[in-house]
Amino acid sequence: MISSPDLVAFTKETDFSEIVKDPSVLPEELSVPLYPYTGDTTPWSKTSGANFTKDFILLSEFSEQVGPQPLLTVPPETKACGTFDLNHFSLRIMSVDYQTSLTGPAGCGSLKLNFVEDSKVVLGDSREGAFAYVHHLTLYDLEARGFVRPLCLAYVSSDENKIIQQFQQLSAEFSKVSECLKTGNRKNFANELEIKLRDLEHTRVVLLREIEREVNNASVMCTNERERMLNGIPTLDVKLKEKSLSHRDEVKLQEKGRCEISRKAEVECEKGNRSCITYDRDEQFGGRRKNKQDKGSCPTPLADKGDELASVEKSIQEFKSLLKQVTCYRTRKLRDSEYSPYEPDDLPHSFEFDLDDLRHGQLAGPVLECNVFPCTDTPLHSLKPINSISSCRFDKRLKTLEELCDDYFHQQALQQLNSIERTFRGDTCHLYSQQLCRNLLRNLKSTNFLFEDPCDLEEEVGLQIGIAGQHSVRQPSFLPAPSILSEPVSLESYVSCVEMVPIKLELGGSSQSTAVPSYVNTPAEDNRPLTSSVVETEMENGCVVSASDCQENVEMCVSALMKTSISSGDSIEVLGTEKSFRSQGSNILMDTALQRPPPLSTTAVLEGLRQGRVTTIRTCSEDSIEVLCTTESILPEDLRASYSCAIDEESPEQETDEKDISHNQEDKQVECVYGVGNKVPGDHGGACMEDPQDFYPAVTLTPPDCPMTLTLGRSSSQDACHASELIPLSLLDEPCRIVPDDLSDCFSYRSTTASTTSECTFPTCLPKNKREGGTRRRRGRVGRAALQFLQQFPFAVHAVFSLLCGRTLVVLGSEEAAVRRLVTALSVYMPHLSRYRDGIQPWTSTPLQLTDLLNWKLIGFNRMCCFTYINMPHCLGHYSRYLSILDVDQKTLRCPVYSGTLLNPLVEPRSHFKRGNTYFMFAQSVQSKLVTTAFLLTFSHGFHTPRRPWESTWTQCFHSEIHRDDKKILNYLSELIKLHFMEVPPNVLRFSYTTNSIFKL
Amino acid sequence: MLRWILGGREAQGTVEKSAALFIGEEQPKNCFTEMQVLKGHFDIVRFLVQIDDLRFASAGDDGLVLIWNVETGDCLIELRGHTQQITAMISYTFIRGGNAHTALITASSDRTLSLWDPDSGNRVQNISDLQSPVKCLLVLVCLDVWLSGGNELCVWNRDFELQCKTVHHSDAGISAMVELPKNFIAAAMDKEIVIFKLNLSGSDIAVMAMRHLADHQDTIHSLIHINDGLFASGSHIGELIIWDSVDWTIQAYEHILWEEPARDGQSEFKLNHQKQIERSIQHMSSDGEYIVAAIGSGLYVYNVLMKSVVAYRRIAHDSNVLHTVLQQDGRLMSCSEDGSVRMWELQDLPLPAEPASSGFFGMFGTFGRSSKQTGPPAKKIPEVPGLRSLELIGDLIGHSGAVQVRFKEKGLVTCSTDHLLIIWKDGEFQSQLRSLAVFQKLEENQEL
Repeated sequence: MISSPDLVAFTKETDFSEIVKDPSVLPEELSVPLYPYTGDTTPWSKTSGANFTKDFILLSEFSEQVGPQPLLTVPPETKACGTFDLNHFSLRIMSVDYQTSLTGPAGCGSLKLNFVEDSKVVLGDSREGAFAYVHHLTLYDLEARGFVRPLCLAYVSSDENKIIQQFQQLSAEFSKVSECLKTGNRKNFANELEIKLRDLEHTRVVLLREIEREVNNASVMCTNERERMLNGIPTLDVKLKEKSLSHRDEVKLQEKGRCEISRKAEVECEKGNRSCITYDRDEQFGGRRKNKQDKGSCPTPLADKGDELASVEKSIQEFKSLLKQVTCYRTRKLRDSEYSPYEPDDLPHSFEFDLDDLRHGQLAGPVLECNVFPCTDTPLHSLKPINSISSCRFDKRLKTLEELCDDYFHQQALQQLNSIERTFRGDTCHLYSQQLCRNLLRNLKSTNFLFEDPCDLEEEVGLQIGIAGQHSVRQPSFLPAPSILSEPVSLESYVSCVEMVPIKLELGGSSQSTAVPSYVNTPAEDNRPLTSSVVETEMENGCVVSASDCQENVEMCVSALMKTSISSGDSIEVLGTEKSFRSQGSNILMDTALQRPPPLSTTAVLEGLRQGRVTTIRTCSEDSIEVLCTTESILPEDLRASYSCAIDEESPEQETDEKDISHNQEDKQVECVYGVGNKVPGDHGGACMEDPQDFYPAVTLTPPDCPMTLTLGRSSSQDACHASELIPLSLLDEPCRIVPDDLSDCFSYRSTTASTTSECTFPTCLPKNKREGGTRRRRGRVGRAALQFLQQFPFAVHAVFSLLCGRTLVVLGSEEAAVRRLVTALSVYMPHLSRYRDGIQPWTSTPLQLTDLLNWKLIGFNRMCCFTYINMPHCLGHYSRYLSILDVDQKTLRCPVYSGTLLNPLVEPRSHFKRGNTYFMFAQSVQSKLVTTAFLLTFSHGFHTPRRPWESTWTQCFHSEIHRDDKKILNYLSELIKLHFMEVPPNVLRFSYTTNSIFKL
Repeated sequence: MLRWILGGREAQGTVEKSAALFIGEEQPKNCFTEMQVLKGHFDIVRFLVQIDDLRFASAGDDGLVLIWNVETGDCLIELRGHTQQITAMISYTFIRGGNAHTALITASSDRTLSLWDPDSGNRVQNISDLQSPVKCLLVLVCLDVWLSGGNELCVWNRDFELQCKTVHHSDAGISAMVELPKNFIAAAMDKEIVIFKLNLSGSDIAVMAMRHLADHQDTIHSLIHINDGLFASGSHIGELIIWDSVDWTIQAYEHILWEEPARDGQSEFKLNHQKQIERSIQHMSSDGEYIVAAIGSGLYVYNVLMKSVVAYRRIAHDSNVLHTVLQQDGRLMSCSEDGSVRMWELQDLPLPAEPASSGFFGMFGTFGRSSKQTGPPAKKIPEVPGLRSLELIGDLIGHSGAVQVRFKEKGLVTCSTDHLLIIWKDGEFQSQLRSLAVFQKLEENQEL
């Protein structure tokens, strides 16, 4: 019950009067926004000029030998892109290189690996009619120039809106792929470095030997020439023998060491050990080297050797440092809270270290790190000397992707790409409604199990996790709460995003602009400190420049979105980069700021931010790559603002939840948010916030003390009704508007969209991908079967009634296919018992047990299971009280008669629908109406307590006007909802004693 | 579109038998509209004992004792220990430490007796190597002792110490026992009822047989306590004797013969061969005023005070009635080997109605039947004044074998040869309970 103080506060608050004035409006998170692209064009009216038929994923590489080249497409090229020029497009997308500082500060002596964050941009090639989400990433290859292999993953579509709309999801999914590839690559790169180091060691040994020999030779030649002339070579031979022996010992020792190492490596860390051993050896050799260096004045061949040795040693140092960087990567990243390591399940997790390691001063970090990589393979590698000067690599074959990344990870990545392709397949409208529907469905926690596809509800989880990994956001698809977005904090982040694009932007206006690249490398850090309020104020004080800059960006963005003109001829337009959507991240960070520890060194970060604050001026690029906007500026908020109708994806609810968790910070918080919301549009103009009024409802809907709002997932009118019955003060004075018909609109819409996503109602244990793919077809098939059933049996409504009031329906027949077909058809109407249980048994021959009736609500039964009773098997006769029997062979139906009205729409339109899909959706919409009413029935207090004077009309209406049979349906659904809500498994069989009738064709 | 109205159970095979007793599918007086099936046993379940308001125990031929929650249908504890079928089970409430404890005593064919703690599932006491398997148990609350009846009668105290026992009875042992006033016990042994007396001298208890009542001509199947002054016994050939509890004299003697007296000469022969079994009194129950006897496949209601038959139904079930329960409100339930439970109501006869012809009933079997039962078929002895009719008001179909029934406030529990237990509940009431639970949860979650 609502406690009275809250209630009073709620009613007294004048701010709320605005909201309450129209109580019949659904809460925003439950309202169904219209399709955003209203206006003159329908989503179907647009024809794409692209010469590929459907979207595809392109993986291309900037090859150092041939330049940008496509590597693979998903689906395979022949199917996907038709006449589309992949090479050309690869060139386009690869030439927008946002990874600016791949090589680090140039001229620096030591090699430095830059673990560059992936960049995510939206590019458009309007002449080709192709638009792409482009995800640049860098892999490491020892043999490549600068050790890097720039790659990019692109989701290519002819629909620009689709890309922009799905940016978050695409970004999240591709980040996963990228992370997978990079993990595998780091593993292989580390292995490669190992081998290289080993080779270098070998080379050095060889060189040393040679130098020694040379020196000896020289000295022998110099001093003992005569002697040698006289005595011949034996002396030297002996010496040489000694030398070679000692060398052989050394080599042996090395080999032995390696054996040991490789053994150890299986248990723990391969690299750490090796590098430590090499360190040992270094010392060992150090002595000799000194000896060598003493003899600086050597003849020229010797000097060459000396140089070579020096360079080998240098490169050994370099590679060691590289190796260390690679192996430290994970440890470093783990400190990053936002980093989600890619961890395959089969990794051995052993964290034991050898004492040796400790003795050699190895840190624990790298050792732990090494466990990331399955150290199973210690490739048998024959040592080979390395020519240190060999620099010409153009004749060399570059490694393939599979070689770059580990085989396992490569396969994983390909699988993920395939799954992405399937996920995002189809029309943008379809995707949009699908997501919309899922979000809405998730709201309806207490009822969505009934008719919606269970896997449909679960599917989202994967995506959520994926994005959570990216942004540490729980629920990815929200758009941020507008009020929060409007804060200067997130605006600031636009700036940093712009800095990410140094190619086409001139840096200027800041004395510290040289420092930019290092920040560009870790753009994520730009945002994080923003969560702290200290930073917030800092920002407001010191970012005049950036504010204007941001505005510029926003304008660009908006223009891009409004599709005013992207007519740049041969141009590629950068429509967005990922940062804009990260602003969403910052929002959530805002939300979660309470839970997160403040940044460790705020001042340092602030410093960084100040450095990073650079004004940028957009240059008109002549080679026609036009940065339309960096994504920092494509705020989801902007998307939202520019659409006529809000894309409203649940964030308010999330907000509510969080607030609830943090024990309802009371109205203050809400007010505070208001304050910010009011202030900001003034400060920064309405560019990013076209309609500041717009977000009021979103916030006011979630007063933390309005507990009934959404956890139960009701519509506001239901709430209102609920409230009207529960709350002593009748806040809502129009209980009559709760007549189910009023609700029907929104809910029918929901279920319409729901049906687009829901797949076959059978419990499918198929992997997600397959389910995704077959959804439409299966839905259509089920719908068609249902239509057929309706046409075949004029008394179908009674069978439907049986299913909907919880009476087990047995489809009795001797022909399996026919029975299965009918079961499929009838499955449309069957409410699920609970989320994880399904009551359909398509075909069985074993006599029914009593317990089967509890579990199965729709049974296909083999008439031939027992021959004694031709008319009806004994078990069916025995339990006939609990069963409705549809006899396929005799075309009879034995079940209670239905004479209500609620189901009529479900069976009436059998002549109107031609397509199975359409009917399926229609059926779901009718069912959702039922569910709504049942929900109301379940959670209306009036039904379950003695009648009270203020009993709503609805209650009366239910008691008096609703037909007995309809009541049965609603009661059954209501029972299921109750059980679901109480988390009790549905283990009771409810039945009624009613007369059965037999219908015959 | 053609439509037939017909009743269910048409595939029952024995149409002729069930024809008379068919109730339609519409049973407005039957409130049991929800069932819960409890699985757990592996063999016939024979005993149901209520432990407290929430729990009951079931036991059967698999030697298992299971304790269930009647509200949720959860199996709370499994009591394992007996190696053979359980032959008797009784609950035993005693005071210890000021609190009442309820324990279970079970007897098994493996010649053991066990005391179980239903809270912990521990086997608190165990006696093995009894000379004979115990067939019945009786708790004497006033003396705080309990008795086991097998081939001999043993008296035990709370701590499972044997106090005394009778001499060995050679043939059939004690099949049933009833407590009588003044520390007397009536025990049914084959054809006779033996009255035992418990002598208390200090802490010692002695038992001795006082009298043998040999008025039954066949094996006594049922021995029940009616009220403080009376007890009743029923035999295999339909003899129902009401005894005085104090002086053990016969208060009433009824020899129930189902066949009509008019056809006496003819049917005597038939009866000896065919209907012998049908006359057997398998079970009786009483509420102090009425006795319900399960006789063959029929039911017989006897008013003890009036010493007259109140109502009877010769064929109440398709096969033998095994168990009856008499409720307070004049309703009774009967369970039969055919797996069904039927609920009956005693109704005043409106007028001596025209008995329906058997031909009519035969037609019902083949064609269609009205859902309402018109009246009892065998109202051939309306000469008894005050005879009422036994109307079928509902049946519960679920089991596929013999059933026993225990009525609890929270539902009806039946057990059966099909290894299942079923809890039957009032669907409306349960639905309300669930609603209350939902709102309670909402309140707890602060969602209201």
